[in-house]
Amino acid sequence: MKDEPQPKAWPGIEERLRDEAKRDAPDFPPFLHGRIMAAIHAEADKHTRPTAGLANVWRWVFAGGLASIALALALWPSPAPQPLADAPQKVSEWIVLVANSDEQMASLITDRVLNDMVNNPYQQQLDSLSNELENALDFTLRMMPIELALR
Amino acid sequence: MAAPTQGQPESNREVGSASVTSDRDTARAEELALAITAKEGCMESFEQLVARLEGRLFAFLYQKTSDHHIAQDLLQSTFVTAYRKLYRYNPQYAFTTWIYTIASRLVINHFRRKRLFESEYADGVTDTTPRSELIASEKAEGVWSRVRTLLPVSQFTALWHFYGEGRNLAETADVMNKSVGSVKVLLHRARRKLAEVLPTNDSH
Repeated sequence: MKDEPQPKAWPGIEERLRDEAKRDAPDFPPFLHGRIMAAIHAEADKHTRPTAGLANVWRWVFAGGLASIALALALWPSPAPQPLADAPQKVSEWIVLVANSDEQMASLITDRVLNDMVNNPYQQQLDSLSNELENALDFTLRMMPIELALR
Repeated sequence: MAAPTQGQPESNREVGSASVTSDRDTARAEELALAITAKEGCMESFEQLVARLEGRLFAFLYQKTSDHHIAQDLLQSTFVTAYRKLYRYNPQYAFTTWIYTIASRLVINHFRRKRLFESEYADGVTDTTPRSELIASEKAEGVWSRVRTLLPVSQFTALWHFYGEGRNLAETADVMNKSVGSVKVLLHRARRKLAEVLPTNDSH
């Protein structure tokens, strides 16, 4: 490259390149440094902001956790009252006992068992029958004037 | 700025202006130290780097775009990108090399987007006021504008660093992250092309 023949016009072009680079050099705007630094500080803030973002994430995680716990508690199957497993057998035993001894029967049958096994079912049936009768009576009373009017 | 002698081959310029070169070595070492501390998170160091390089980079971007506003925007983008990617900077290379590379890539991206935009809106209204035409014609008369249109990007960049910023071969190679031989080839091709075209059209 050292021995490269220099084109005749080259020195003039070289001079123009240097001169015009100096002449046309743009004035650096005085506000530009501040603008650049403001943009860089904004960029730096973006990098520090993930801490706040992380806090937000944790807040949402915490709220979600609480909601999940509340939902789980609401939907958790509550223990249903367990029916006496061996009820038929016990009833048969009581029948035998009743047949043999009133005293033994009385000692075995507690109030709770008596209520669960005898009183409550009968009472339920009686209540149901009573309701049916009341409804029938009510229906009849309501329908009666219409029937009479039709006649 | 080391102003080389007119018509002097670049090999001779390497020998001369030793004090300028040593000043530049010092400046380069300082920039490297600042870049390392900035990489460690020191904002003041980064601001010093901005203050040192913004003028030269602005001139470089202006020559590439020939538009003040675009050059300003690209300069800001260059420093913001540099700050964002500072963790990737390798101190084995000069900081100027790295930041000029960022700036050059942003310029390329800008023109790529501009070409896409112009092709999309080719039938749209164009800015052809008498004032804009006058400015465009004045700009087109400048030798650097001609050089920009005539030469490929790499040759223009080499020519700008060598003549526009007055760097020697080694410094140009350094800032372009190329070997001295590659820069010589780029300059040689640029000269040959310009010598073919410019004298016939320009009677300067």
